Amino acid sequence: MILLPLLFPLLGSLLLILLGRQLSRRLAGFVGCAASGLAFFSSLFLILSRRPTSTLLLGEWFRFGSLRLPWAFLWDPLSSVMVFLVGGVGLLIHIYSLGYMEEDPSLPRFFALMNLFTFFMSLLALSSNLAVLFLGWEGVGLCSYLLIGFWNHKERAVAAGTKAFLFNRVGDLGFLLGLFWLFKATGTVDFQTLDSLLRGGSIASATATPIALLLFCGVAGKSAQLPLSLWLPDAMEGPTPVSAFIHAATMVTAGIFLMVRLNGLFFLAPGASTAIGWVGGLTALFGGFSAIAQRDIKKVLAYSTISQLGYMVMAVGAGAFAASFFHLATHAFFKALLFLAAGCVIHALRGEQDLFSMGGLRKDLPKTGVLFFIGAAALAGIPGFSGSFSKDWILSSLFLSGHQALWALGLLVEFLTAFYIFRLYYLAFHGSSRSPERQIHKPSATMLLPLLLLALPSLLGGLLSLPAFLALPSPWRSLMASILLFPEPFQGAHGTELLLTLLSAGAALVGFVTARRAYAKAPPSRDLPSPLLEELSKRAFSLDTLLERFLLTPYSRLSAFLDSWVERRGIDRGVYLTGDLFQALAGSLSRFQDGRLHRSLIGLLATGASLLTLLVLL
Amino acid sequence: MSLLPLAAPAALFLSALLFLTEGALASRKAPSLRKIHLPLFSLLLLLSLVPLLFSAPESLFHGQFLWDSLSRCSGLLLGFSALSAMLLLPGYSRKSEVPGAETAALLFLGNLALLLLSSTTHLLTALLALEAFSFITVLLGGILRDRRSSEGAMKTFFLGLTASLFSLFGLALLFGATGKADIASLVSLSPSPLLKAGLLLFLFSFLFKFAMAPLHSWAPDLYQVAPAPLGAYLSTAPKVGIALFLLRLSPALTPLLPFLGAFVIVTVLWGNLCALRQEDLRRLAAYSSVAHSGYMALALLLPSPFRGNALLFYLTVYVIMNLSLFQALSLLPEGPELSPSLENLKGWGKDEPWIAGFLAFALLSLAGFPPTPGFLAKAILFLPALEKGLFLPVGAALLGTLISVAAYFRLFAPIYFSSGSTLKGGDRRGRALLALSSLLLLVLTLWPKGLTLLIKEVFSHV
Repeated sequence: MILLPLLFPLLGSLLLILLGRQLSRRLAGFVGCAASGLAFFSSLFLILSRRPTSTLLLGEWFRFGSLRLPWAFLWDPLSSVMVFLVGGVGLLIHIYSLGYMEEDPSLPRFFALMNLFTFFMSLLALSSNLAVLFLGWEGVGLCSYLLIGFWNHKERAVAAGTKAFLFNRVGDLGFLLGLFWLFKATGTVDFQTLDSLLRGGSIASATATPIALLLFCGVAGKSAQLPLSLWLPDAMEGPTPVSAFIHAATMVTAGIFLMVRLNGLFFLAPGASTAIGWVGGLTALFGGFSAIAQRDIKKVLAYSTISQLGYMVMAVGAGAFAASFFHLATHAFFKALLFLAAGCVIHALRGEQDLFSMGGLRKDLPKTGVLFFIGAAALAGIPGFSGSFSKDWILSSLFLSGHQALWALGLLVEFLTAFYIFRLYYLAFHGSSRSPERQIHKPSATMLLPLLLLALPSLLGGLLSLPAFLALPSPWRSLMASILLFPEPFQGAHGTELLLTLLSAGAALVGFVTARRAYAKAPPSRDLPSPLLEELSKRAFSLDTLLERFLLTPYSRLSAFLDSWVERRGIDRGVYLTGDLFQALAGSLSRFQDGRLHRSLIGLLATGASLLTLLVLL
Repeated sequence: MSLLPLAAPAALFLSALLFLTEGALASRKAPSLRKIHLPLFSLLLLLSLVPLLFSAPESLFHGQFLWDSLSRCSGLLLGFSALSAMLLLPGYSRKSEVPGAETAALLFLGNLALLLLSSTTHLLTALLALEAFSFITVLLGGILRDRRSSEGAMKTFFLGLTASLFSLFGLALLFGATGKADIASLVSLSPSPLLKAGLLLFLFSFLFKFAMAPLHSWAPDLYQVAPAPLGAYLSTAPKVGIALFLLRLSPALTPLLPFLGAFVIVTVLWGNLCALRQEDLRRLAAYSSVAHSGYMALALLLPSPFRGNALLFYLTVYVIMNLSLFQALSLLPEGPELSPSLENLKGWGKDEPWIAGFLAFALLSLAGFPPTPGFLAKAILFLPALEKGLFLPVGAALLGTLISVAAYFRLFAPIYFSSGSTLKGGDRRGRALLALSSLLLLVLTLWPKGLTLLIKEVFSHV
């Protein structure tokens, strides 16, 4: 039963890969959406039927020494929520793609890859051990690579895909090492066995810390944490539905999912957690600040995604796994909404992505405008919208768990978030049009409907987890309590929590008002007060350049050196010399043999003579 | 005493006589291959194989003729080699210059001599058989009767004669020292210097005919001038006869093992090194066969159960893969002044993909690449040799193998990496024969156990 959410997308993608060229475009689109829809509804059915936590063994994958890896799947609150998210957001984005990719010639390939991605992401979510999870982890990486470079006639798209893949490889190295270390230390990679080991206290903190740090390398790659964040903005070269689905709502959150899945391990590694918290905090600041001066509408959203992922990681670092996962869920909806709305704008303007060529779209695209505003408000954390609940929870957890510095950082980022997202909103939708002859290509109903369905959870999703000080029932908290190995160690006075909530709401509102004052009428000449800051933001701290100068250039110089000196002049020459030596030897030997009889005779007699001599001597 | 074991030699002899008569009676104008020769030859050859079915081991004439499963093995391999040579002839580019009946008779006589050689335990008989075959060698090698082939054949003859003198002298010493010349008595005697000297000198001619360096110098000259189909015979059949005789003799060779080891080292290195520089394909094949003689001689250094197994396995595989090589070479046209070289292989991979594939398979096997039978043969040979501590000969053999890889791979470059107009030659029969050899190699690759089981059976009856 729990395999249904896996089965349908796999079948869909296989069908589209094998028969894609034979199917008509309409049928291909239908198959893609149907597979995604069946996956979603089967997971919905499983949730509604209140299926208890269960594992499904599907035979052995491989056996190596004492390592036995089964094809095992786990249905528990965490995996069910994740599968539900993937299925739900996935279905809406599949439907949206029908409209958005309408004119693309390789539509079957697109849906085949989207279905394949859904399959791998669900595999990741449903896996019952780290090895199967890694399979899904690599699978989504592959799909991401293929979909970023979907328009493979664009050189930049292909390069961006490669970049994403390489950055992920760096992280995955850490992941694999962590996996091996974990197996060596505990003898298992099965989540439930691990949990019982962790609960029983048989894993020391000194063991857990390096493993957690290594696994976090993988997380940093997949979830775009510093210093491995740089691939995500480039990944926006892919089609917008891909950016929404893979590079905002689901795949990039796989790292967070992993850490929540292994919350016991990270809980037992406080040293690692502190480091993780700071990495998350800095990433949040980096993303938020870099988003401010971007001109490309999708780049703003990409940096925003980095920043929000930073929030989630920060929360994990503080031990607030439930809050982190809640933010993952709300973020999935409102970030998908924002991306899809941005997609509507880009679609309407025939591919225009520069914010400074937009303006005044409120009049042309009124529905999109309202829906975008809802998404923006949710992202900014305007009180009442879903984002405010999840983000306030994270911030108060940070404060209450004693990470005041991180909390202050988070508050600053909250302000930045509200500022950059409303800057985007006002630049695009308010003011007057800045490109005189523009023709609007109105979005179809298939594009607007998913937006509407995403806007609902963005508006109301927060109700699932009301702040603790309201003392109302919170389904999310009770759900998460069952998957957390150790209770969250912080509990503040209701007054403190209320104050914290007010402060973060204030930060968001101040950001909103600042952006409104600056951008509502006409855009100012500069986004930031100082030219230096402006440049820093625009170039995202020049990390790409730094990377090139301090890593890539020395690396390629080293390669060139190794190639010319070690490889060619050392190894190759050695090999050739050996060959030449034998050739020369062969040459001198064959000189003995020129086909003259007397030489052969002399050779024969000499052999006989020397044999007899040897016989006498020995 | 039953004379049944003599059926096989008798059949060979009678077949040869029949062909000689036919050749004498046939019109003088057309000495070349006639239509009747091929079916007749095949039929007679198959008939001569029938006695191989009768197995009771028997020793006739005081051990001068020993009929056992090893002799039957020898008869089978020799028959395959001779049949291959004859079947290749109709597709041979200079077939009009080859007298068919004579060739057939010589092949039968050659098989007869070699069968006797491999079926005797008496040194004098062995020497006589070897000498008989050396005439056959000269006649077959020089059968084209142009200046080059006559010269090559005569050179071989003179050198062979000289080598035989050593052997004769050695035999005299042996007989003088012991009064005996059969293997069993030699084994039982305690080694004296005179015995050692006698044996060593006696071996001389055998090592010469086996093409062990530095006594190999006739081989490239002869293979180059002999027609390629007969080259196939001359590079395989004598090795079968001599190797099996040396296997019978090997218990008596214990005092001479260091000398044999030295021969092995020199041969594998010299043969492979010289192969590295050859442009002429048949000279290359000659040096390759020299090197393989070295590997087979290495088997003689092994202790008893391994010796026979390794030698017989290697010999069988060698016969098949070397025949493949010469069968492929037979498809290339030759002329009085034209000897196929590496150049002539250009573009084979594209124009003749199957033939090129078969040849490549044989080359890989000759070079000893896993999982080809050539590799298995070397593994079966080298591993026990290492265990016995024969580090020097095995080291040399490994080095030689390494060099041989380069030598054989030189053929891949023209076949697959350059294009050119292919010189077409050969006929259906030649191609089918090559396919058959490749099939045999493939069967040995996939199911080498079959051969090892066969070999085990052979030695259970000896």
